[in-house]
Parts: sequence; C-alpha cells; structure tokens
Amino acid sequence: MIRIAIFAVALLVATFAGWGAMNWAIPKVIMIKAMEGLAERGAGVNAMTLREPADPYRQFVVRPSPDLLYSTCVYDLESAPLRISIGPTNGYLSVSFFDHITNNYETLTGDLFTPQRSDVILVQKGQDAPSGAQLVTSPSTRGLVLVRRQISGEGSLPVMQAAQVKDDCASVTS
Amino acid sequence: MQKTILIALACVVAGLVIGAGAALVRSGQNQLGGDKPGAVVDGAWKTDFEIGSENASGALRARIARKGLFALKRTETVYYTRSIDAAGRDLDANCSYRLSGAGFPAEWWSITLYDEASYLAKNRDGAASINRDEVIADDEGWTAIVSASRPDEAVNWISTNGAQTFDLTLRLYRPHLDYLMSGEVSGFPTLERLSCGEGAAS
Repeated sequence: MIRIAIFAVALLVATFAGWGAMNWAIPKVIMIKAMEGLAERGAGVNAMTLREPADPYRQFVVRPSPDLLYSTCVYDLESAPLRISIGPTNGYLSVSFFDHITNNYETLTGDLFTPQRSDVILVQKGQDAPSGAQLVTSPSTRGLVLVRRQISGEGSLPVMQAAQVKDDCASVTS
Repeated sequence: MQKTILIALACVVAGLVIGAGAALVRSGQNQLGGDKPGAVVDGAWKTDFEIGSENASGALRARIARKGLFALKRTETVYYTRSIDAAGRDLDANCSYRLSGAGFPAEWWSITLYDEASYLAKNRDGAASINRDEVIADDEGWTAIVSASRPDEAVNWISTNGAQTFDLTLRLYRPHLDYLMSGEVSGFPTLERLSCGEGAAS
C-alpha cells in the first residue's frame, strides 16, 4: 500500500514538474526562434526592419494585423545601449518592448514622439545611459522592439510609410 | 527493492511526459477566457486580461507565445477571440455568417479572421478584417458578411477563403479598461450562421 502511494506521489509530482517545465520552455524557445527569424529575414540585430503591411502571403508572426504597419528591431544590449528613433505620426502609433520571454514590459504611445523628440535609449540594468532622450530599461539583454502604426482609412498607408522610413535603431557608440 | 525503484522511476518519467504533453497540447489551443469579470462577453468573446503581463501564468504565457506572440498589455490593447456562432457551433469556412455590431469601449478597433493555424487565411480577397475607420455603418451599427464568396451588395465582407475552421479576433486599442473589467459589458457583435455547403448564401 505504501509503495502504491509512493508511485502515485511520484507520478503526480512529475506531472506537475513536466507541465511547469514545458510552459517555462515554450515562450523562451519560441522567442529565441522568432528573434533569429526576424533578424535573418530582416535587417539583422540592432537594426530596424521596415515591414510591408501584413497580408496572407506576407506574415512575419502569428496573428498579424492587416490594419497595422509594423517595424521591428531585434536587440542585443550586451555591448552597448540602443538608440531607437521613431518617425512621428498623427495616427495611432505605439512602440512596444518585449523581453526574452515575451513579456511586454513597456509600451510608449505616439504622443511621446514629436519631430523635436523622437529618440528612446534602451539599456539593460546597470548600463550607463547617454543623456538627452527618453530612457527604457530592458529586464533582459536580448528582446524585441515592435512599432505599430494604424493604416486604416483612405490614403493612410503612404502617410504612415513616410513616417516609417524615419524609424531606426542602432547601438550607441561612445 | 530494485523493482520498486524502477517502478518509481517509470512513474517519474511517465509523469514528466504526461505533464509536458498536456502543456504542449494546451498551449496550442486558441481558446482564452480568464475568470476575471469581463473576460468573457456575451458568452462567446473571450480574452485574458493578463496577456502580455509579467503576471501571466506559465500556461497563458506559453499559449500566447504560440498563438499571439508579441501581444500587448491590456492598457494598450485587449484581444477578444470568438470561435463559435450564436448557436454555440464551431466556426466553419464552408458556412456563411452575419456579424452584427456597433461601437466598442475603445479608441479604435478591428476584427480580423484567422485560420486554424492562427494566420491570415490564404486568399487574395483583400478582406481579412474590418475596422472602425473603414466599416460601412449607420446609426444602428454595422453588419459584415463572413463568407467565401464576395457579397453582391455593397456590405462589409470578411473572407473565409483559404481557411477550414477559423476564429475572429477583436482588437480594442486604448480600451476603456475599467468598464471592460467591470463585468457589465455586453452588446459585442453577434454572429449568426446563414447557410452552409457549396455556394453558401452570402
């Protein structure tokens, strides 16, 4: 009887462990693969990729919105902070930051970006940051910056694409 | 004694496989629906307000990684997904539907159709979604036909071409969160099945 109880407990504990381990691993693995893919099929790491509007034959991620124009920057802050420049627009704009396990740890809205003030400095904890720009601290060394612009409405696509070409991200060199 | 250890080890291995397998299957399912007020609207539109949050459970985080990577936090966007019609039947691309709605408690919204793999259905119809700025509406609200064939009349259309089963994702940008999370929200779009089969009415 005691032996059966031990076996049952071992099975139960291991089941929970397997459940937890798989749920822990899935976001990490998917994020690593996603960042590798986005960098390879885009401008690389620490560089902004200006994406075309998503359509059924051009989908860079699951569940893309065809009503948004995306820019992506896969980042690695190992050697230096990152300067991110955003082309201001009047329509919907958000700049979201994701860490290496898919947490959306910061989102900046369009009203924070103007022609006079369009830069963000991204650092990891403990890293010296240059002054003169909005500061965002990443909880992980690697991650992704995703810029979304609304492209619904007549004539909005060329307007948003004109703003998008000003999007940039690059390591800050001293 | 040795036999007991071997059986215990077998139980551990079996448990790990069962747990990991269950997590893998669960994370591949689209269906959301947390237990917080407002997480399920009108019994069909489902979300989890912890999407994108550091507070998300491991299971939710795994599901979003597979089915909604790079989703935003609720303060910026809330994502509701619907995968059943008004009668509770799974959505089927061999059928046509009437989607009827009005405004939403948000600055801007869109409704997009995704296929069984969570991608935009493979077609060249240019009708994957509707949104607040482009939807044809009147004082009563709006109606969209969800079908494989383009409707004859000038109405909103979401194409099911290229999908087998599908779901609809409602994105609410800059949502009125207090209201959404009050649990008192209703009146999200209804989805009525019109017909099924070859040449389903549109």
